[in-house]
Amino acid sequence: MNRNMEYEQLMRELEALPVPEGGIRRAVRRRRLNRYLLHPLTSIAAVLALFVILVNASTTVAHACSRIPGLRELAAAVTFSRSLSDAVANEYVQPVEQEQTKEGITVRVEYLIVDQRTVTVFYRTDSERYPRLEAIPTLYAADGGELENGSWWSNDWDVPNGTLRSIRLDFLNANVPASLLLKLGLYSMTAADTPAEPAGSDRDDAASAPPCAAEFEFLLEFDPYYMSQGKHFETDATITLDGQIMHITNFDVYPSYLSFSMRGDAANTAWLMSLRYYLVTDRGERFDPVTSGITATGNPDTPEMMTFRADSTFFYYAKAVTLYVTGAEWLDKGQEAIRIDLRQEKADCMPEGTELVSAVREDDCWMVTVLHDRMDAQPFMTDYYDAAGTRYSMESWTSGEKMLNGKEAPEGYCYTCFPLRGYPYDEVWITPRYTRRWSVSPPLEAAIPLE
Amino acid sequence: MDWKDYTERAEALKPRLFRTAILYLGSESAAEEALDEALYKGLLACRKLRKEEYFDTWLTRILLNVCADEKKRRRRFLDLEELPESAAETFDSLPLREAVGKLPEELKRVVILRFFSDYTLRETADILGIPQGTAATRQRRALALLRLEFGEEMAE
Repeated sequence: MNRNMEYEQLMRELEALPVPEGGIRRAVRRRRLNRYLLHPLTSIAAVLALFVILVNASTTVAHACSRIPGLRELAAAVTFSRSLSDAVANEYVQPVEQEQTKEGITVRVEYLIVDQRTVTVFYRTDSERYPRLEAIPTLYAADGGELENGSWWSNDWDVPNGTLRSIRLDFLNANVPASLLLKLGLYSMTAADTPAEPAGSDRDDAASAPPCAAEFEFLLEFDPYYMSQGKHFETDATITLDGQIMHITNFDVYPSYLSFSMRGDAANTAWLMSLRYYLVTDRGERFDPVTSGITATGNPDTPEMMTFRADSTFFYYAKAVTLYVTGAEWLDKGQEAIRIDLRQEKADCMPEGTELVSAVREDDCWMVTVLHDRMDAQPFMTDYYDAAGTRYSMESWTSGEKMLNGKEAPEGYCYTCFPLRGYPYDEVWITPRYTRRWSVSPPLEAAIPLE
Repeated sequence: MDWKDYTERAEALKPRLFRTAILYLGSESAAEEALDEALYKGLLACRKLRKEEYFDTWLTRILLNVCADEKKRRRRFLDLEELPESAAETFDSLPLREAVGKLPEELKRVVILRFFSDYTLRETADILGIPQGTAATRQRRALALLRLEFGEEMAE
């Protein structure tokens, strides 16, 4: 085969390759995610997860649904949260029924689940003109001002018209106010149907954001009965985990979640970074850590994660619970930052289950690769420091079972490569999420009275 | 250019962009990543594009810049080493796709844009920000190394 025949064949091969789908859609989503997904106020650990279970698998839910129209659909929309499912099963729902229509789009806010610390808004969009709409919710104080202490999230991407969607708003250090303003921007995901941007848009990203098909505003006013729901308990239980003394200082039970706070003893040699646990009520019902949304919150003054969230016992009227701890991750004091000699490719120490593979200088960027045994989490925080203590932040990293040169990680391990862009020095201090892990069997327990 | 127009034009250009990235980076997964990044950067900047007739060359230039960054990032991991123009025999011994990948950077860009991404010589020069004569010279050198022969119509 001569070169020209080879060229013809190569062109045929290239033209036959399927072009990756969704690139533009991913770009749009990335643009929005960067702005809207989460507005953290303090260190928080969160997961975005959606679980689908059969609503009728719960006899209580099925019973409630049989009596209140529309509740079955609501129950189906909250299966990602046992607490919200229990709330719906107990008819702990504030109906709203606000509806607006603009530009051929109808938005209907239908239900709220509100307690002292959280608001979950359920709404749906419908349109004959736009077959697929993406909703970007933003919550404001009732007077239109910025919300303080509020952190909201929504994982309703790619939801067909007519489906019940939700937004959850968490107040971390404050109670839910009497009312909130929900602004909802709706974007067509079908380019051909997208109308021109509404006149008068003064958004600060107007130069780069896609045009909004329509914007809606709903003033949400909360029933004081729901706003007052939740109980706070001061506790003085203590539990020793892996030789570290932890004081359980308070316990909060809201309809939408349960939380307890732990404070490490001053004599401890390590910070508690994560906890594996479950709770059992005095009547034997088990409750697990939440699997969606904020799972733990920390203290800005220490690396420690202090408050942990679990499914709520609110509708079970427990008089006491027992905390069972099965494991933890610790960050040893004094190892909050780990020094890596980039030139020598040597680290003073590494988190358990992690090893430094390489550090390669590429122009103005150090590419640092580590091998670690957890696929679900990057072993380091995004902040890193130079010898003078100047803080830098990595923007991204990549993880996979193969290095880019094709070298495969041992089974159960993966590589993570993180670039230190523009970092000029040969040594760096990176911040591990933990330095060691600990498991215990049978679980250690602490009794917590709730009266 | 508004977002609606950007989406339509970028969608139509995607196959050419993908081909360009594959040949430049030599890997489909790297090309997909670069394509995503270029589409994202284009989306952020499309409002600044005043002359829509330059859309294709503008977005292709963004893609080439992204590919160049990606190439630097992956230099250690992918076989992206170039051969000097004096290594004519080595070029001969390689399959065409690999030979294109081993071309010196300035020649590779021209040959990919001209003969695999279907740009004219003028468009290629615009994308690369070089005079048309320079693009023609680089094209001639690249075709000689690859031992590709095209008729006058295609070579212009």
